[in-house]
Amino acid sequence: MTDGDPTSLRRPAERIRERVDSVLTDLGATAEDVVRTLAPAPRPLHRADLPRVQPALAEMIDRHRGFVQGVGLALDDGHLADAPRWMEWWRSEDGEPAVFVRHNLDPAHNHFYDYVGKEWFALPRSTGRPTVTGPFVDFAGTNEHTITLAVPVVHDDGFVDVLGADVAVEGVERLLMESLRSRSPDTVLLNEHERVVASTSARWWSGTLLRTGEPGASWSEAVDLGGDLRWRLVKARR
Amino acid sequence: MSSFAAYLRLDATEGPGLPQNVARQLETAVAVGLLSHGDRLPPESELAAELGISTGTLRQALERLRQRGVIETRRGRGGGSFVRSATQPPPEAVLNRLRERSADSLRDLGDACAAVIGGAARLAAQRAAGDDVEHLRSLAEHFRRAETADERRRADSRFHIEIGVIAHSARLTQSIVHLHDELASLFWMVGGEADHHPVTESAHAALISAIDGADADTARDVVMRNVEGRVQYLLDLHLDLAVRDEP
Repeated sequence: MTDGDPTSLRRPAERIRERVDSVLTDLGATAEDVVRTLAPAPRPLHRADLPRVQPALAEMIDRHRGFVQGVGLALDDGHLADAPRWMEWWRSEDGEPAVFVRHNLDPAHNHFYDYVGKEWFALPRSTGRPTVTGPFVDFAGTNEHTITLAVPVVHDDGFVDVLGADVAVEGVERLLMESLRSRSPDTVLLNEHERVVASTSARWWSGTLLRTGEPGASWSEAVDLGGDLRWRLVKARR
Repeated sequence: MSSFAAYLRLDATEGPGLPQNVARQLETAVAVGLLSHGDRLPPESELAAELGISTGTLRQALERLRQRGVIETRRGRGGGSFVRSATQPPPEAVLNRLRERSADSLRDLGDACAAVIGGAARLAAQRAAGDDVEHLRSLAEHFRRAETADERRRADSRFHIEIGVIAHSARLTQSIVHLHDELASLFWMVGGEADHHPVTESAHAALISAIDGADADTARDVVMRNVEGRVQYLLDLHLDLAVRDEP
């Protein structure tokens, strides 16, 4: 881990961290906005109260166009009086205005989106911390290979909703390339499970797991991204 | 049934999107060589019946294809709808497409090809009988004689489609038509096909001998490794193009 230039990956790692942090910080501010907006609404909440938060979600999408594809509020179990669960999710493709994404929340359906048990929802809800989860195939959600950035939305009524932003793995690939700023072969971005998020090498494919003992899986350099990101940027020994 | 119609993947629920869907499927049939230059399409009523759609829907689909220059219609005796020579995009356009798409989507396409064609090869090795292997040999021979990138692409697709046919699986065959076309349209059209030719020839030969020997596991492995090699090649090229493009 000590050979090579020990600083060469530090700046790229910082750039990736900065980009992700800027989204998490904005999600945090938007979460506070959501709490303030919904505070005056009489309890229990109803679906009809949710259009009030739409401008904040749309703004969030606008600020992160080209990176974030969708932003939404996933409501805590039992938070609404007229629906057991609800996802107020908005999505924008290719610079188009954001549109509402309807998720199937009927447990009897094949495309049931059981978000309460999913890591991107459960983790920020239980830890109270911003989290980055993925990549995962978001079946019945985006239906893409996605990462989700999410923060808890802690209301005074005791419920904790989750505010999330979807980023396609494709967007992380671009971020990796841009943050390296020069040709840097064999640089791999790994998540907390040693799963490849994105890489500049055709030897390591996004979505695959690194197995120890695999040839080439010894790194000349490795940098933890730190903060709320459980990711590492590593460079393979040539 | 005409030989190509069985391979088309139609969700034949009449609706506004159906003519486009039919047109797209027919265009894929041309792209992978199930229909080639000069072929005459069956009469409209016959083709519509084979595809399980109304003649009105088929006419709309054919009109789209005429506008796109895929077919031409000649009147009078000996007339009908004929497939025009397919115009392949120039290599620069294909390289551009390869640069634009994500490494993640290439990996995903490769995984689907490896799993579907590999699985079909496994079944083919267990089910081949009669002159199945002979057919495969002649399709491999056809590939060997191909001289242009486009001929290689079509012959290679036709070879892989036959794996689904030998497996006796209509669904796998349909899936191979579409998945293999997408991969082959990149792999054979980005240049370097002269280098790919011998590798592909030996992969074809290894698969034929595995199917001939009813060796299901080897048949699957040969196909999966070959697909992986192609994805590796395309990913390398994609990364080169994408990085070169950075400021």
